[in-house]
Amino acid sequence: MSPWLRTMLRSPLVILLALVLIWFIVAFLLYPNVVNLQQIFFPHGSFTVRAFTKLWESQRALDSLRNSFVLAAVLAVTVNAVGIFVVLVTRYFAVRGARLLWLGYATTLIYGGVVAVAGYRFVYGDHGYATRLLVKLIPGLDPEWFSGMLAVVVVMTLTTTGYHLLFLSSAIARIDQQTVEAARQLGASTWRVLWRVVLPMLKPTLFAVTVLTFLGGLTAFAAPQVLGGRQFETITPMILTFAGIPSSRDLAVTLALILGAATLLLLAILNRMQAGGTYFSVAKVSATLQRQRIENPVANVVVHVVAYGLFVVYLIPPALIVVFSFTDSAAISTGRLSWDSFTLANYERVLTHATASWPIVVSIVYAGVTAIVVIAMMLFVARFLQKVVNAFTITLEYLLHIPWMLPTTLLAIGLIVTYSQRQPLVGGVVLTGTVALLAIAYISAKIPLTLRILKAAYAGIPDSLEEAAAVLGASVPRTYVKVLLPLVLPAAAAVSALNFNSLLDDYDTAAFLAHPLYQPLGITIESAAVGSGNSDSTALIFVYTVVLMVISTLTMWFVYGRRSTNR
Amino acid sequence: MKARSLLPTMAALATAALIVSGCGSPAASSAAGAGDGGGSDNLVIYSNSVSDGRGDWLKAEAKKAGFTIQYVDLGGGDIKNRLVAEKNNPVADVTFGLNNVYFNQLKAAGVLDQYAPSWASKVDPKLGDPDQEFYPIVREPIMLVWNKAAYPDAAKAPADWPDLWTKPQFKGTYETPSDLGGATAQVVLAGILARYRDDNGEDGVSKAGWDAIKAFFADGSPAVKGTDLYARMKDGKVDSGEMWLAGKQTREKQYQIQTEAAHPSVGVPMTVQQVALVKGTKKAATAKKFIDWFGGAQLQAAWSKQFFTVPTNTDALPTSEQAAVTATDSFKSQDIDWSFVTQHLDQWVEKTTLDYLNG
Amino acid sequence: MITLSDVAVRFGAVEALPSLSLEVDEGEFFTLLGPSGCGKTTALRAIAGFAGITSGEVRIAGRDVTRLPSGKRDVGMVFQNYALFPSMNVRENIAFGLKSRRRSKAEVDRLVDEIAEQVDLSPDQLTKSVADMSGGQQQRVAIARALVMRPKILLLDEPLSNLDAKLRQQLRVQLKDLQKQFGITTVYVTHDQEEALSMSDRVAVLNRGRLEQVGRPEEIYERAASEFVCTFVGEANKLSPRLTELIGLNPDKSAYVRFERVRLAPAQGVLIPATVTARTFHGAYSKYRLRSEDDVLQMVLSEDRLDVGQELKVVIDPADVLQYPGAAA
Repeated sequence: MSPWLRTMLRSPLVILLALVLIWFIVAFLLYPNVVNLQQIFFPHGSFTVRAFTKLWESQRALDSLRNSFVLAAVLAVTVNAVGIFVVLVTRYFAVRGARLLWLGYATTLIYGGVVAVAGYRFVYGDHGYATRLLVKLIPGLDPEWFSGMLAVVVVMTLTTTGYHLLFLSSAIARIDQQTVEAARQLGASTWRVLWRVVLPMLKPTLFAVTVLTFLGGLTAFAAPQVLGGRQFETITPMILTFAGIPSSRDLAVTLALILGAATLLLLAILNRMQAGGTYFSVAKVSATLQRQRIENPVANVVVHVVAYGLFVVYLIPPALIVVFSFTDSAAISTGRLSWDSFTLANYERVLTHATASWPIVVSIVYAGVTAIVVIAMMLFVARFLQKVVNAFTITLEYLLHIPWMLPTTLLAIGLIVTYSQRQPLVGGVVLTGTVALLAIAYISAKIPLTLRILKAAYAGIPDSLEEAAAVLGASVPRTYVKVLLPLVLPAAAAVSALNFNSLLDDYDTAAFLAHPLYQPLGITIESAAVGSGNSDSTALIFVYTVVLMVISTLTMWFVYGRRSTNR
Repeated sequence: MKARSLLPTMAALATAALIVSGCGSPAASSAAGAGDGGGSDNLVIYSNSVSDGRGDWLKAEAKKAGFTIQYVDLGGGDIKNRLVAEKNNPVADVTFGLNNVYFNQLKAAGVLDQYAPSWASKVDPKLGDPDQEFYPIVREPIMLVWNKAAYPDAAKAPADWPDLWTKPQFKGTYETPSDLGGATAQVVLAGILARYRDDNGEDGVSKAGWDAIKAFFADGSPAVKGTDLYARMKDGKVDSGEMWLAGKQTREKQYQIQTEAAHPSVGVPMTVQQVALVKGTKKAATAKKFIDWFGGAQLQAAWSKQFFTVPTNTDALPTSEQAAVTATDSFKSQDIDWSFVTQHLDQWVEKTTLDYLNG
Repeated sequence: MITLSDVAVRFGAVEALPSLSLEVDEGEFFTLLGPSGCGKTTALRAIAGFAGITSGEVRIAGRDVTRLPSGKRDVGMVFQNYALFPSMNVRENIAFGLKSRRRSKAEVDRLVDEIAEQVDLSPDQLTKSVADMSGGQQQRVAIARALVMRPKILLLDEPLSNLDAKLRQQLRVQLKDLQKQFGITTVYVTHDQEEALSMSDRVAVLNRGRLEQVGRPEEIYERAASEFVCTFVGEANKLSPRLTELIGLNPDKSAYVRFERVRLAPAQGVLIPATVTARTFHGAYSKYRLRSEDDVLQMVLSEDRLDVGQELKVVIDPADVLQYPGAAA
């Protein structure tokens, strides 16, 4: 037993925290999934493989599964292509107006999900601006051209490059300028340096980001549901349908489990790759790498054109959402603007009407509380797991990754089934119908990424700092608060901001677990988006979207922007 | 040091979140101890029938009658699932608007409490529950509607659901549901499958029945999420689809098109919306008073005038919207064994979703 | 002052320190010298309380501290990279230990100002961020941070290894002066024999976890107790059996003679004819490479007076030859 562990185990607070952690894992990560498995194999008390045979016989289920995997695989390619490109033009190459470009690409960081899909449909859908323009140019064009796999892939590719912007950018910033200079000095061309020197150094990060993208594609919900149509159905909408029929829940759980198995496989690979290094870093590094000039003039022009083309594509949907959030429903439904179209009525309705603004409040509180609880838990847990490595802690760490291995819907179903009756595990309380259930699911869902990022941050602190404090007689808590915490705080703030923003428009989890009187924004937006589709509700969605974008931007600015201005 | 300026920032954010959480809630009075309503008289009502302005209107009427109510406004399936999930810790006090199939499932799950409203004698007992766990408020036909512009000659329009997949001219011209979560879609499904009852068949339905469902979805144009049937009819994308009576009325106005409903000789599924007291409510006395008021002749007549419905309360009929009554009575009620449907509906939805929904 | 009795440290299956016994006297500058991986840092960390001691005993000022946490051992430590806390300024760094002990604010301020003056840190440097300081200044902060606690002993873990040659020379002097000024018992870890010889009162040479020799620098250098010490500390010619025999010693044992003990004739000892084959100039002295039949000898002379190709006779005094058991080859 290391002296560190011995000291820790002497503190009753540490023991208490450890017990709480183990309880949390058992009660909310393990047990609900045991209940899930029970639902699949013993739905009525006796063993059955009904769910598997039903699904195996269903062409539609198999097609949907195949489509989900195809989508995930295609996205792994397209998102990397676009993601690497946008990161290179904003962080690596000398491209004019890189800062402006970055702002355009960064719109994916402040809005996503069903809102983004609605935005793209508003531009490219059958009544959209772009479609009307295209129909004029190409007379035979089907106004509904933007549907099926193409549309799903395009929208998801453009809206999920956020991981690249965050993780790949900071990985590039860590590249040693001298390595690049050495390669150039040896006569390597711009492309050769990129291909043989820079990209290999980014490989671990790229791999990690690819896994996240793949998982995102596998569990895609909003885009396939709205844009996929009959030709391109994916699995998550089907999971939701079956989850809604109690007698078919075994099918939902089985489908989710198949996705989970695929995820598990990927994560095992990721874990093996990550064993040697820290690839999820969000720490800010001073820009030591100088922008590389593209010497071939033709290539330079091409890169600029593509970069600005993408910028426009990225920017148009959110820009139109902002503009049309200020217009009346007539303008929204026809897509035609005049001076009289503009109105503040939509905002008035959302911001002054209690029922309309309530979901915003609920979402902010849920996201805020979750971000704070998760970071508080993981600051402690990550440190513990980083310091004490034995069979027990390794198991603990794997268990904490459960929310990554299994789709959120699976955990949500598990929670709702498990805790809709009195459970001794939570003191005999029925959690269904309380506000706690959704918070628990949110906290679980945000544990894995937070844990990984914080562990990486802790790993970057030399041991000698802690020893120096110890030899000076500082207690373990004092050492932690005064010496270690300030050093991981930037990473903690960054990941908290990510967590906060990603929860603001959550739908998947809330659809199952939200307290009926405390429905977060995602539910409101989703029901307006897929509901009757009348222009009043579209206006509301737009206003909600703008509010979301403002909040997300503020969060990002708090974490990233202010620090760079402090320099 | 940059890191240090972050700590107060995060603390400030946390505080802000907590402050915001403390105010501005429309449910603030019932916020404490979620589920028990904190002793206020705020009634929580779960309903799938408060959209399109109905909720706001009812809230205002209820206020005049001395009730403070708030809604959980979700689709039929979601309302049912929530009520079942929250059975051991109910948030709802009253639920209304779901049809008899759902209410039978709720009853089977033990969600409802017995209560015979003051107007119980004014409704046809056959429409409600023999065990007094729910009572009928509104009956409503679920119809096949078609766009008059597409079929200027009514004789050329589809006359019944089977026409859609048996007559080649309708292939691809009608909308089919893209998922079966909604109450209307489920009733349409039940209305078709109930014609092929075969207790030896799969899930109580003969092979011909399943072939019919297969053909129905294969030849249809699936609904587009976020685009209403009436919008698609107006655009000429489809010419017919499923609709309930009140929905036809409001959508014709909203989309400015004329539609007609098919009057099949077998009749149309006549759903009956119900109201019930939720078991375990802490405000049973107020809730019962509300049910008495809500199902009473006066309010039901006013509701009918406002929203084009046909009340089951016979006292309300004379003063209710006569056009709605006429329209509803113009349909023959399809002879459906609702207990058979209740027993099998989930299986049908599952099988259809797995095997037929994408054609 | 410090006593290590049979101290053993094991990391899993690896025996980092099989068994070490040492005695460090009060006020002494004591150096642990050895190549990397020899266990010198482990020994230091055993004294500081960072290495989990498997068996044996550590005493500081007569007190058994084997099981005490490092904060209670009355030791100060300066780390290789100084381990200054980047989130605090210089004053906060120095005050950290005092505040951990809950000293009053006035006392903390007084002690910090006092120590800062003693280590030559100006008041305006105290408010600086540690990242803005030079290597030498950082070392002073690290020393101040350790000494402000008035520890009984000071532990230094290769504090000069990250610095350039010139600065290293300066800081060696700075360190030694500070140690003298405070009169504090100091254990110093280094792999640099020159550092060890020039600064220490006594040196302990470690090799593969074992103590090879303890003694004053002169003893270590001139009377190296083992072949390892002889070759690790300073430079020496390994004599071939032929030369050993020529000098009149037992050729079955390995034999060494320091470069500077190879002298030009005339001098006392055995005459060996040789030819100069190469010369390297080192400023204050020159190094010559000689050949005598098939054997190579090196010598140093402070005056530059030999030419390459010159034939001459050198002298080796058998008393200067260090002999160790083992093959001579």
